[in-house]
Amino acid sequence: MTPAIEIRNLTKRFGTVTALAGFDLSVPRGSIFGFLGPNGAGKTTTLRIMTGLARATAGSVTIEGVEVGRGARPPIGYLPDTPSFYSWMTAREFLTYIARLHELSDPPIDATLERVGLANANKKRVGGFSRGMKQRLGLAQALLPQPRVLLLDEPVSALDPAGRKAMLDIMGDLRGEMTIFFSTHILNDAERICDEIGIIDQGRLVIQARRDDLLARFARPVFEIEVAPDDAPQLAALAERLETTGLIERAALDGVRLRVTARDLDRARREVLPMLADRSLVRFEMLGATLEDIFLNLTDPANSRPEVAS
Amino acid sequence: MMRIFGVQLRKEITELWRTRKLIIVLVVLIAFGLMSPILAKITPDLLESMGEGQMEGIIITIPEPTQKDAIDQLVRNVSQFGLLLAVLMSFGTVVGERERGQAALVFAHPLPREVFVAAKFAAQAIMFAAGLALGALGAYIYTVILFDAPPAGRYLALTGLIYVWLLSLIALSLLASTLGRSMGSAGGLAFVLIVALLLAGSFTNLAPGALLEWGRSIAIKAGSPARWGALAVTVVVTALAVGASCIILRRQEID
Repeated sequence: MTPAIEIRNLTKRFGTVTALAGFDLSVPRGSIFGFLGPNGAGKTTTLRIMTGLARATAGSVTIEGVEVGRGARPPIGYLPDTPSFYSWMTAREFLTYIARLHELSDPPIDATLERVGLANANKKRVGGFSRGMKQRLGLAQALLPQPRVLLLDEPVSALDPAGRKAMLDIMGDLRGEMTIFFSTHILNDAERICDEIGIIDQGRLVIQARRDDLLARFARPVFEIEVAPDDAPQLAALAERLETTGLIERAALDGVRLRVTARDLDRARREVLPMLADRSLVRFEMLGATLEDIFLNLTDPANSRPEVAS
Repeated sequence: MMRIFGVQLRKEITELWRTRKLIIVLVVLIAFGLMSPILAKITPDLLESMGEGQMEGIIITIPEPTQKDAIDQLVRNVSQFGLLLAVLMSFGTVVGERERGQAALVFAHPLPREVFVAAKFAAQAIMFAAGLALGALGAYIYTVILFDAPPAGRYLALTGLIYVWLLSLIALSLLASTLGRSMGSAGGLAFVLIVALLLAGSFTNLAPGALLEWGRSIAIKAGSPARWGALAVTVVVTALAVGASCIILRRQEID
């Protein structure tokens, strides 16, 4: 299947500064794609090129078969990181204006306002909107023309927890309706909602993979064992015993909790649990990698990393 | 394209109305239109009253004011306050939207940048057409009341030439607004361009400023030579400034 977004050798230089160092990226149609990276990594520059607001120094961006910057406009909706509106307009007036630009004959203004939770504020001037309301209206104007690809630049970064949850819920509801490409540095949000993830650092794509594959690939062989307080003294003995078996690299005891790093993950899975048969076990958990671990691992300058991996 | 231009022009005019810019321009131009014949009428009386008891033995003869003085006053007022208004209302239009981030939002929609610029120019042109028309009408009525009726056709020609001159100022301010990276730099650039335009009037009769003198001459039947060259130059300067603004904005990257 043709990808919804195809980026080839995308390069952007500002004078002597290289913001994007020539990377390839492919976003499957219908997916929610999280574009992660630390501040200054090149996320916004990439999005600005994708929307045609900036030009690439080299390379190309093709969205739904339309190459950006070659005349035809790709079917996109775009929400900038801090959307700015005409403060003298109401939400309804702004959406009507956008609908007219798209020459929509029967624009779904009410449904769109309802979808983003602004149905009751549709007659209020945008100048009086809170940051969260502006973000919702920003999403509404991006959704109104019913684009096939939705590009969102840090859509939740500046929102409070409730606003962030609401925005992510709306994005989640859109799954399957369109391709969503969004940049963020809030890793929990990406982990929660994305199907596919790309990590960019210093203008280079460090990795692109399906979220689950990424988490599995970077899974750490770490178990956490928690016992009832009465059994706490015996945990130290267990730690020593595990070390003598050669099963583990390291054991860290913290009261009723023992964290062990396995040398051989499969063997540890089979053998550690039976050793706990006579303990008052509260919890035995294999700690998976979080996106945060992966992100920090891949973007830490101390770690060597591939140019582009997928 | 024309349909999008209509949408954008409607937005611009609504903005001028809601942000009260339209009212400000109308009020200022009407006020100076009305004041021009009144000032012409009372200036001799004012000078006379100011000189009373201070210059004994000196006889100052102040001629009775005529419609010519009313027209002179109108040209003076419009050339000063019209210029100021045209620059102030135009220099922030493009750079302001770029600086506030509104341009990044709307340019992601199917809004050609040349339409964006053209609609801004058209909205300003309409606003100043309305303001100048009402101001000139007010000045005409008071001139008729206080003096004689100037020939309507000639008076219309004066107003038309003032308008063409104002359009060139709006176009240059719009160009400054497109070139400027911030409101401050756009304002400075607009100032430089307008000063250059005014200075050009000291060196050549082809500069847009010559239109004011030509219009005045037509209105008062002074018989000064026609300035078709200045009219052509002004139209070309206006068209080039708007065209350049379109091209520059199309090439610009929007933050």
